[in-house]
Amino acid sequence: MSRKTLFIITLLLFFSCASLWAITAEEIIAAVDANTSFASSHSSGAIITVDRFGEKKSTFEAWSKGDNTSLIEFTSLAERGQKILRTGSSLYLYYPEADQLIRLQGAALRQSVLGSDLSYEDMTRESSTLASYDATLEGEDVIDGIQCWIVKLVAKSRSSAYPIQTLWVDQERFVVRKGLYATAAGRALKEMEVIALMEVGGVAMAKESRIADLLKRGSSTTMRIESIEIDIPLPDALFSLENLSW
Amino acid sequence: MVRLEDVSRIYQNGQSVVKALDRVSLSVSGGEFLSIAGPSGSGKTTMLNLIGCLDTFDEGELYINERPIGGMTNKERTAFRRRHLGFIFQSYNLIPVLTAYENVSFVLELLDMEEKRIKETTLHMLSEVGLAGLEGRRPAELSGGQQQRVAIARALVKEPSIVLADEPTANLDSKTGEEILTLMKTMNERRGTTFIFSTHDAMVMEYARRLVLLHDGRVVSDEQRGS
Amino acid sequence: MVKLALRNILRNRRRSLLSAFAIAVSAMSIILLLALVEGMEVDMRTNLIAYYTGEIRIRSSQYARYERYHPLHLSLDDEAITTVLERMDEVAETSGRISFPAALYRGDRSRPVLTMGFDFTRETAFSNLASILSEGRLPHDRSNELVMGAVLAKGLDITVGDRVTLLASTAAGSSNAMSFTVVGIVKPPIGSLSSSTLYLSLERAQHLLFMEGRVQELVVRSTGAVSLPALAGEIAALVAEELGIETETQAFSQLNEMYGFLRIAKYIYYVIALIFFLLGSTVIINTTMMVIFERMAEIGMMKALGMDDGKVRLLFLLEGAFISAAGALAGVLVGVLITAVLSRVGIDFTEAMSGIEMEVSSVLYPSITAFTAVAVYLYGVAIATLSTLIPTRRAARIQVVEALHYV
Repeated sequence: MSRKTLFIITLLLFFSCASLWAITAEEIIAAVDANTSFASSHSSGAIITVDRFGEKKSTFEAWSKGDNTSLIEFTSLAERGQKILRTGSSLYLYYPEADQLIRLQGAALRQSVLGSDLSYEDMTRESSTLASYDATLEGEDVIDGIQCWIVKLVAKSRSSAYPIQTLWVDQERFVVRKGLYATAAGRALKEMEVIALMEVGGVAMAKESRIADLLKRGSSTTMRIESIEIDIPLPDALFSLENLSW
Repeated sequence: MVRLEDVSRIYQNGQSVVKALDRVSLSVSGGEFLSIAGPSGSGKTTMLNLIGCLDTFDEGELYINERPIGGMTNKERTAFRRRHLGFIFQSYNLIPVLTAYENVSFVLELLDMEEKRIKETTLHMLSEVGLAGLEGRRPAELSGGQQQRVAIARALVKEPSIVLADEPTANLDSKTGEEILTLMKTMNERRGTTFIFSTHDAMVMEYARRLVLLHDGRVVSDEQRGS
Repeated sequence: MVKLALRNILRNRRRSLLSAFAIAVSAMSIILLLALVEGMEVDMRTNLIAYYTGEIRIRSSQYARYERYHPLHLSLDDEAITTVLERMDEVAETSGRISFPAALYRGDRSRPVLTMGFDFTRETAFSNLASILSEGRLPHDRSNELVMGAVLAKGLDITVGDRVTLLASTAAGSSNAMSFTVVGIVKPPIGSLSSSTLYLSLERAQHLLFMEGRVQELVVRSTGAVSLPALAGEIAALVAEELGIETETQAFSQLNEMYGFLRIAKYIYYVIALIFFLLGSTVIINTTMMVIFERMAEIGMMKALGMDDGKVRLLFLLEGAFISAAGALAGVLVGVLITAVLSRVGIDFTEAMSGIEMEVSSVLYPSITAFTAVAVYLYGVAIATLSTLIPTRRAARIQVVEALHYV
C-alpha cells in the first residue's frame, strides 16, 4: 500500500467518525500534496504558449522520482535535445551544442521556460507544501459547479517565489482547481486554472491547466499531460548529470 | 561781442537756494583784455562758465557775437565752443599721452581741417608761443610754464572769438606767471582776440586793461585801466 | 582718435592687461569647450556609423514597437534586400547583423552580455574589427568561435583559447545554448562595448538563434552623393516596392538621440559662450568705469574744447575695442594651441566614462575649425566692446562743468 493511500484512508476515517471535527487547512493541503506525489512517474505532454506574437507549441517527455528529482526532455523541433534536470535545489540545463551544463540557482529559477508563463521553478517544484507554507482555511466557493475550499498559504521564508497563495481545492477529490499566486503585499503574480482532470491510480490529477503570468500582458500558457505512468521502476542513473550530457 | 543781460545762475542745494550770479549785466567788446576778480564764492568761475557756454543760466540772456546762447541745445553749444571759444585752465589740462604738437592739433582735428593746413598752423602757433623745437615732447617732459604755453597755443590755434582763462597762473611761480601773462597780452594785441580771465591774484589783476569785480554774484565795480 | 585710444590704453598697463586677460581667459575657455564638443560630435559620428547603426540602418517596421522584447523573429531577408540595395548607385556598402542579449557561462560564473553576429568580410567597411584586434584573430565561419571585448575578457579572466557557453532566446521563442572558443580579443574605443560585447560570425548567430538566411538589421554606407535621410527614404521605398517588405529605414543622425542632442548642444554652447564673455567683460566694464572716473577732468576738458558726446563715446569705445581685440586674440590663439596639442594626444576619459552607456570613445580628440575660432574671436570682441558701452554712455552724459571741477 502506498503511502498516499494510507493517508487517504486515515483521512476518510477522520471524516467518518469525527463529524464533530471540521477539517483543517493543513489536512486539506496534506491531502492535495499526497495526491500529487508519486514514488516515480513517466509522462509526456505539451506546453502551448499564446502571446502577442502568436502561438508556440513545445512537446516534452518527463520522468520523476521521489519528491524533488525530475528530468524533462524536449521533443519538439525548436528545442530538440534540450533537457532540464532537477535534483535537490539545483536545476541543470542541457543543450546539445553546449560543452557545459548550465546550472540555475536561486532567483534564476524564476526565469520563464521557453518564453512561457511557467518558470523553471514552476515546472520542477517541490511537492511538500506544508514544509514551506503556513495554511489557513478561508472559506468555501463553487468553481464550475464544483464545491471547493479556499485555502490561503503564507510562505514561511521570505525568499519564496510566491509568498501568498490562494488555492481552491476540490472538496471531493482533493485537487487544486484554481490558484492565485501573489507577492507578500498581495499583488497577483500568476493565475492557474484547471481545465480538465484525469484519473491516475485512483486519484484525480490535472490533465490540462492554464497558467497566466499576470506581469506579461496578453500571455497565457496551457500545460497538457498527454500520457502518464506512475510508480514504475526508474534507475537512479537516469537522473544523473552524466546521463544528462549524453 | 559778449553781452550778458540780467543773467542769473541759481543752484538748489537741498532746501537752500544759492544764487551764484544774481541778475548780472555785462558788455564786452572785441579785442578786450578783461579780468574778472573777486573772492572765492563770488561767482567769477560761474560767470566764466556761462560765457564759455559750459553751463546754462536760469534767468536773463547771453549774446556772443549777437547770437543768443540761451536757446541752444547741448549739441549746439558744443559746436559753438568748438569753433568760437578757446579755453585755458588753471591746471593746464593737457592730454598726457599726446605730444605738445598733438595737443594743439587736436582742436584743429575736431574742426575737420585738412591735414596739411593743420600742420602748418600748429607748428606756426607753437613757435609763436615760444615752443619751437619742443613739439615732440609730452606734457610730463615740459615745465609748468611750457605746459601753459601749449595750452595757450591750443586755445588760440583755431582763432577763436574769445579765449577764457580760469586762474591761468595759479599753478605757476611768479616769474613764469608773469611770462605767461605777457604772452597772453601779446597774443591779444597781435591777434585781436578777446581775453577774459578770472583771478584773485592782485599781481594778475595788474595786467588787465579792464577789471570787473564780483561779490556775492553781483558786479560791484567795472573799471577801465591803463596799459 | 585711434592714436589717442591706443595711447590711452598704455597709460595704465596693468589695468588694461587685467581687462584683456579676463577676456582672454573667456575666449580660451570657449575655444576649448567648443573643441571638446566638436571632437565629441565627430567621435560619436564615427562610432555610431562603425559599431552601431552604419550610416543608414534598415530594420523590420514592427521591430521598434516591440524592441524591448528583442523580437528576433521580426527579421529581414538578408539576400533579398542586399540584392535590391546593390543596384542603387548611392549605396556603397551593406552588411547584415544580428544583435541579441545572451548569458555568458564559464563554469558556474555567468554574465549578461550583448552579442553581435557580424559578417566580418562585409564589416570591413563598417566596424572593421580586424583593426581593433589586440590579440588573436577573427572567427571563421561555421566554426564555433568568437571574439570578446578586452574589458569583458579581463573581468572574467578569459584569454584566447578559452571555451565559453552562450545561452540566448531564439527567434523561435525557445532558448538555445552553444559553446564557443575565444579566438581573439578586441579593443573597441567605446568603454561599454569593450566591457559587455562579444562578436560571432553572422552564420553562427543565425544557427544559434534559428535564423538561417535572416538578419535583424542591415547597415548601409553611402557614396555621399545624397543626404542620408533622403537616401534612407529612397531605400525604404524601393524595398517596399520590389519586395513588399515594410521597413524602418533611417539615417544614424535620426536614430541616436544623443547625437541629435550634441548637435543642439553646440547652439547651447554659443549661449554659454555669451555668458562667459559677459562674465569676462565685467572686468573691462569695471576698469572702464575707473578710467572714466580718473579722467573726469580730461573728459570735461575735451568737451570744453568742443568734442561732441558721440566722439567722447567713440574714444572710450575704441579703447575698449582694442583691449577686447587683443585679449580675445590672445585667448583664441592659446585655446587653439592647446586644442592642437590635445587633438594629437587626446583626453582620456576612461575612468569618468566607465559605467556610462554612451557611444563616445573613452579617449576624445578635441578639434576646432578655423571658422569656429574666428567666430569665437569676433563674438568675443563684439561682446566685450559692446559691454563697455554701459560705462561709456555715462561718460558722454557727464556735465562739462561737473567734470572740469572734478579734481
